[in-house]
Amino acid sequence: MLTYALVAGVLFGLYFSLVGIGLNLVFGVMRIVNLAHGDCLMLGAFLAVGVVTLIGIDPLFAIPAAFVIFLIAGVLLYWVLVPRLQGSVNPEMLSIILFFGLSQVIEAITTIFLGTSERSIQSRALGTVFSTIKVKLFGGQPNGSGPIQIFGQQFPAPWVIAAVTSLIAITLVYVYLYRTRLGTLTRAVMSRRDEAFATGIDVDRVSAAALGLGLRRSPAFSRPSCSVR
Amino acid sequence: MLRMTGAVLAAGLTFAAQAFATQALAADAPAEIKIGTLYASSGRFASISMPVHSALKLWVDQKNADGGVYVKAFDKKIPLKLVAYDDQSNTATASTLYNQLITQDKVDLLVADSGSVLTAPAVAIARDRKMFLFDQTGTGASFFSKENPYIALMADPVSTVWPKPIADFVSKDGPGLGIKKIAILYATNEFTGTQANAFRKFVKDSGAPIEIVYDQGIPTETSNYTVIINNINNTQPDAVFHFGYAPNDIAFLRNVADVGIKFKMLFCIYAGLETELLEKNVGEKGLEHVFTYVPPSVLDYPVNFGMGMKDYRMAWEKKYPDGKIEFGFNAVAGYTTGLIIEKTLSVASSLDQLELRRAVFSLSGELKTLDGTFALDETGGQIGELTPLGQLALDDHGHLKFVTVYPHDVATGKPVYPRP
Repeated sequence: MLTYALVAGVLFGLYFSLVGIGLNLVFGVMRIVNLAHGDCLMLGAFLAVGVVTLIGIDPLFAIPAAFVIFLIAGVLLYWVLVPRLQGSVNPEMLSIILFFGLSQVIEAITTIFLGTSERSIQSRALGTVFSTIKVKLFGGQPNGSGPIQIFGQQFPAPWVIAAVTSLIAITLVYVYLYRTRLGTLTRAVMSRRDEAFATGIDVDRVSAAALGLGLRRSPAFSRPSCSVR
Repeated sequence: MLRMTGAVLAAGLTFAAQAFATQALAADAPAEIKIGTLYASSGRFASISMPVHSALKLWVDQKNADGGVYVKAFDKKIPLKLVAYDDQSNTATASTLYNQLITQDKVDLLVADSGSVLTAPAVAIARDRKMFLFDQTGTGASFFSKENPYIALMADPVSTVWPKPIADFVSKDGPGLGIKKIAILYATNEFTGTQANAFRKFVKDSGAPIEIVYDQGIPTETSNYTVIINNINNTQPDAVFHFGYAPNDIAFLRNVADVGIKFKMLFCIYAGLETELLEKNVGEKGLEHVFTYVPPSVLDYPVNFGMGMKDYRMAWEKKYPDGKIEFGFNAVAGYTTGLIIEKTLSVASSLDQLELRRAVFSLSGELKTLDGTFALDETGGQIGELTPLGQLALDDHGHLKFVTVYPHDVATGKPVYPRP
């Protein structure tokens, strides 16, 4: 039982680590408390539900779509809201109120258009792209996403897929921050915003990219196991 | 001659007095009867609150299309006004809004939100403000006591009696089926906590050779059951009873399927109460052979007031054709509340809150609606409208159907045990 709890904790924790990274990126760069982060997660989940319901394909294909959509949304959100926020007397406090309001708006619009009931993706829909590739390359019968064995214990396949994709995403964030020029600039802005501005770094562009990345990271890579309410 | 003149004079005076009284009564009649209530359009309880609220709105719109409800206190039909606020599944918000309904909006009738968690704030407020609470679906045991006359449960049995059919099935039929060890998992709130406590007590008091090998309460907000399911499986139960709200049941049943564990028997509340919702989220295969309460929509009770199930279903689908709000037990509960309010107003001699209570209690045992027979105990707890135990099965077309398995006098089939 202890082994099971530990492994389950690691798998589940990887997913929440990714959610936390997105939130941390936004706060670190702009000192904004994004109270609408959970709502962005929820919108990403609905995107996955839409992909499965309307197109009938593996929800993993929602990841690239969410990537693009939320990157654009984050950049737009930045240019509309953040400069005004940064110019205010107490941007940290005001960001709480502003993004709380944004959270309420997102929830109300979602309720109006999508209703109030829970929505889920059937677990067997997840990972069908892998079994299709396996069948085409190696032959055999396609199989649904049954439980996956780890240390002799059975864990839900969506958890494992979510954990693996979260690990990939966390790695990509590391590569972005420490191996790319934009990432270096992002770390500079996170460390000393005013000094970064003084050295000629386009703080606004870096911040917009960080907001877009922070918003797209969690919804996009956490699609595998989703049940929204 | 003098005697005749006196008699005529007396008759004339009596007639004039009556006419004057009727005029005064009509003059005092409000322009509308204000019904105050809350609903949750978001959050954990939205999926059980919105159907109830939508059903109440359906009833209000129906009555207003007919000119209103007959109010005996004023001897006329008066239109209804539904004053409703969104508590967003938050009990603190609900408390503020219940107070607002009473003190600011000055509603004539107070109706609780759906479910015990969102009804709980209303119970204390209604009692303190001496306002009678029409409790739609809040079944928590602590709501009903002899000291509180300001509450009555409308549309489902009080949780101290509700699980009796499943407890009796386990105690009486269980040993014959091979059920010796059971696991109880419940969300710790007024509703499911009370159900679990009552179920446990019924089983223990029965004296049947049943051992409870797992008995755990978890927070209502729990959305991940994988580790819990593994722990339950390690105790090797012959039957697992899960008492939770709809989101809990959805997560539990999905996790059971995902982990690949096959329990010999599974019981969940909302597999029966909100079958459409669970079917969308868990799927037919995930619900097959799950034991649950059989809802009134399947039983088709004879009615002596209001629409029967078939007509009500048609009215619901006409008013809410988009299917965004599922039709289930809660949709019936909201309409039942409306019917009881309507009947109460037609019986009560005034809108005094204790007179409303008297009128509601006078309906006990007499009123038969699509939800079953309305029957209250002395504390206002509903002891009618009981739901038998059933099991979900797939028909020849792969659709879910109910098989009532207990009590035997209403059974339509035999239980499938163990779960294949």
